[in-house]
Amino acid sequence: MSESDQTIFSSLEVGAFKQALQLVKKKQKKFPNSSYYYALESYVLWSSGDITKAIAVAEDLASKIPSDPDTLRLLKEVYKSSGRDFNLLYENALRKYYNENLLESWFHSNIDDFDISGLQKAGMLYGKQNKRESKLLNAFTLLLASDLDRISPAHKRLFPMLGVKVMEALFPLGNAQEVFIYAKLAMSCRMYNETANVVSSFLAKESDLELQIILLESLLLAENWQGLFDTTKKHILSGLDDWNVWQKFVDSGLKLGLTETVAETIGGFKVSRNTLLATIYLNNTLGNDITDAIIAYSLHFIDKSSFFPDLKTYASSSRLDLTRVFSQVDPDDLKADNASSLIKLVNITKLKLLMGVKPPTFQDNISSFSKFANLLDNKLDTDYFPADEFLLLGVQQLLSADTSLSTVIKCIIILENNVQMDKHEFHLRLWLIKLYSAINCYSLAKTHFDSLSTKFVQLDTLGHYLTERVSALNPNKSGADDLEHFCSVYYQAEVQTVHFIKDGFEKGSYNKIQGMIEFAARLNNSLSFLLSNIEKAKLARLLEKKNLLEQSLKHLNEKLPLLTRSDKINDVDCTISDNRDFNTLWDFGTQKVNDDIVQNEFIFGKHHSVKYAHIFSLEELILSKNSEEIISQHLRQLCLLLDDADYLTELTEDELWSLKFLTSAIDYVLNHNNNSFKEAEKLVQNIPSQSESLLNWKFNHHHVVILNTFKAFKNFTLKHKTIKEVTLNCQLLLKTLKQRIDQLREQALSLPTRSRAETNALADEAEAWVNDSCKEQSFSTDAKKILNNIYESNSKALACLRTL
Amino acid sequence: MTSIKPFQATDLFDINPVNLDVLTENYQPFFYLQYLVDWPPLFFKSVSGSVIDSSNGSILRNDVMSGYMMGKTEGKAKEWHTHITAVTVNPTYRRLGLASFLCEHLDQATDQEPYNTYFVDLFVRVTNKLAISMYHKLGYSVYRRVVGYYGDGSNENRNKLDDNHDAFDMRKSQTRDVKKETVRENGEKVNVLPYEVVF
Ligand SMILES: CC(C)(COP(=O)(O)OP(=O)(O)OC[C@H]1O[C@@H](n2cnc3c(N)ncnc32)[C@H](O)[C@@H]1OP(=O)(O)O)[C@@H](O)C(=O)NCCC(=O)NCCS
Repeated sequence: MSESDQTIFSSLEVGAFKQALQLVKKKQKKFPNSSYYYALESYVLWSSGDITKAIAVAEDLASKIPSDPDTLRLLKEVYKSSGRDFNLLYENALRKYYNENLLESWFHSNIDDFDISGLQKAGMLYGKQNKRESKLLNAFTLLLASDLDRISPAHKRLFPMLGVKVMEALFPLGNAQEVFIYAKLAMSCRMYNETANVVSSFLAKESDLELQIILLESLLLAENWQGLFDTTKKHILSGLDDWNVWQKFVDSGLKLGLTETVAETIGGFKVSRNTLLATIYLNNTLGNDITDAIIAYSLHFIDKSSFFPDLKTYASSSRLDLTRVFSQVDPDDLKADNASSLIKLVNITKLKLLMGVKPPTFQDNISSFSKFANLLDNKLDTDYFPADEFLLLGVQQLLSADTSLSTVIKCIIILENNVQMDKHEFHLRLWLIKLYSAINCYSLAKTHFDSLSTKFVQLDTLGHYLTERVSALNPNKSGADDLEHFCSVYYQAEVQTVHFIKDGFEKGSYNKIQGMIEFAARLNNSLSFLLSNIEKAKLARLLEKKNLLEQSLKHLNEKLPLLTRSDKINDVDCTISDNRDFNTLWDFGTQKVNDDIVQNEFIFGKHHSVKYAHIFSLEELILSKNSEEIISQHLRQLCLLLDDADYLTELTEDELWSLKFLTSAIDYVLNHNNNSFKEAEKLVQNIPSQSESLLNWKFNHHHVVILNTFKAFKNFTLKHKTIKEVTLNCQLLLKTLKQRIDQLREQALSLPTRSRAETNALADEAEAWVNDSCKEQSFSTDAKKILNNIYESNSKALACLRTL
Repeated sequence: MTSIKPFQATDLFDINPVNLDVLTENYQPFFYLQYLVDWPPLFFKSVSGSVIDSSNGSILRNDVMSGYMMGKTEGKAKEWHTHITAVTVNPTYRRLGLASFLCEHLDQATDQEPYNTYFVDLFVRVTNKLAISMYHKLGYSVYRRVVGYYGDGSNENRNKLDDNHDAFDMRKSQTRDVKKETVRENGEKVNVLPYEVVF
């Protein structure tokens, strides 16, 4: 790119559209035959929001069939954003001026966008080349496309058939990757026997895990029970102890009526977790009583942590006598204070909880923990301590009974006490992050989050623990920095995944490419990323950070089409993907996400879903767009959503109030509709009240929502000039809002004293509780110190409000 | 109930129960992707397998990732070897022999064509007693102590030992190394600096 071209892009970045357009026009004069500068003109117009003109210029240029790769790339951006078929641009160009570079450029630009349909189209042209790698590309992209949800049933049949044909012409297949492509395509065509033949003859020469799995799958789908039985048996006789093999061995053996042979083979293998579980599976499938098989498994594995997840599926079987299983455990054995007894007790407790058989009380759990607490002294710092589960069970019990502030404080005390001793236990930390966020102590939540050293992709799956309400809980520069740090992961990952997908094609690592494309698309369309950008926009307005707001709006704009789509297509490249991990938090006890607690507004609030993202993306775009036509369109959509009860469940009272006020007030500015003014006036006079307790996330939330509403509306009225009467009425609305903000600001001065009084009262209560309920279980902790930390952290969160 | 399955990039979304472990490093995405692309069969996971009710085909239990292995091959001539970059197991599934199973699978996969390496090696913190004891059981021995391997690179003295930053380079020879030339006794006493370990 020349220096002057660079200047054009720099002007675009800072929003100097007029200047960019002037520079482009100059270039057009200088190079009248260059298609590139016409594409750039369209791109500049599009960037400036003049979509109609941008498209007119683009279509005019497209009709001349440009073939310069850079031109096509720019046109593609304009086409893409307006929902036009941009692949047609390349197809037309290649039809007229076929060359390999252009084909490669098309292929790569589809990788850049993780666009599978485009890859398949380009792949078809590769198929015309007379090179083996090109044929493979053709077949492989047909395989990718055949998995798409959006293609017609006819294409779903056609693509794999075409792919198989391409591969058959390449026989004999040279390596595991080629066999993989053929096998996957043939399986899609239900050619299970053919798949099994080709794969097994390859495996006779070279071993490959992926192909071994495909072979078993194809034999199963072909209902070739003898083949499946022989193959699995061969693996077993060679000493392979793999569950997938065992399960299919049992299934095929039973289909062939070889129950005894199956049982003998399992019995003749070394005793292992898989063989004991295979015996349970065999008996369960035969409809036999499974108690003896479970007892046999328990004898070897009851002191392993995998005991519970392994047996969970069978626990409620009517063919299992659990009391007989429990009675096998020597009660004296559970009394010893060694690691083996500890795990046994944890396992039995979990099974009892699952089955509702005499589940332990809170006191039982605390005393079980205390009994084994001395084992912590000999534990390697980095190893795990199964007794921590008793604490989590205790916390769950307390919260299930009541989720008042004082209960949350008790839970924090229990968990804090233990993370001091077992500092690498991540479940305890995740719980603490949740609980501290609930009581408006962001800095403590952040300390625990940081201690987990979560990085990169983990920030996508776990970042929500910190970011979900950061604009309210930490409304200052450090909150904005946290959000920027989280979002930076996505930008880095995009560059990296694109590079390695191209590398994967280059090196022929086909069996990893589909996963990489899906991975990249799910990150690119991540819900966490979208929600972080919404938080960023809210924070940017509060802190008056223009750059931050622009970054965020760019993302919201880009993803809006995915939110507004009405079809039910689930393809990863056009769906918002919720990659958030909610399971690890509940990976204890019965491993069930506990709905009673999750539904509780105080601790968790409602999790934000795509619906929340949709509502606030529209709101932010309404506030930021210049074109009244687009604003009106978005406003209509937003009002429809606000009329849909389904969309309202995730909104707090404050948020719903704010959205209603803004939609009415903005409608008044644009359409001078008096009813809307009356509605807005009614709303500013009935602002929801604030939480009494400062140790509640809703305290900050209220303050921030009111302030954000004020700033949003004020900025909107400054940007959109209107008639005098409307302007005066808007000023009245703003004045009333401002009065509420002044009150909030005034009270902010007395918050430290109030926070001190609230935490002191809680400290006394907590100390009394520790003495009453925990001391006799030799569970001791310094409640006052923990409450003091809470006070300090809460003060920090409140201090942010004073600076807004 | 353990099965070994190939690792896919999307598994990174389900990795938390394994990777929240303090001794398990979280890498930038490119690092995982590079292993997937360059050594596709040598990056695999153990899953606590699904259980399907064969009477009605319903899934009683889904696969849960219980651990994974990232391996690669590198080196020239007699130094051509398999390297264990990471092996780690979800705490719920430890002490079941899973890590051993993952290591053995890698050994076997590279003890034949197309890899056919001379030995398998790995680096482990000298303080990670648990892992060292496991590798010993699997037939590995210490080949050398890499002084400052986990440090900031400031130590230039190979005799200035520091348990917090040193690693053992442990090795096990493969079938191809008929004369066992790639391993040695008393490797604990052979100190080297990180820059000396290049292939
Ligand atoms: C090290 C690690 C991979 C072992 O996983 P694992 O599946 O539990 O290991 P195995 O069951 O195969 O154990 C094999 C042997 O290692 C030793 N071992 C493993 N865990 C141990 C522990 N907690 N305490 C003592 N010895 C232990 C034992 O000798 C064990 O044999 P045994 O169970 O018959 O006594 C696992 O603890 C882990 O993921 N640690 C964190 C990551 C890590 O350190 N990776 C290695 C870095 S190079």
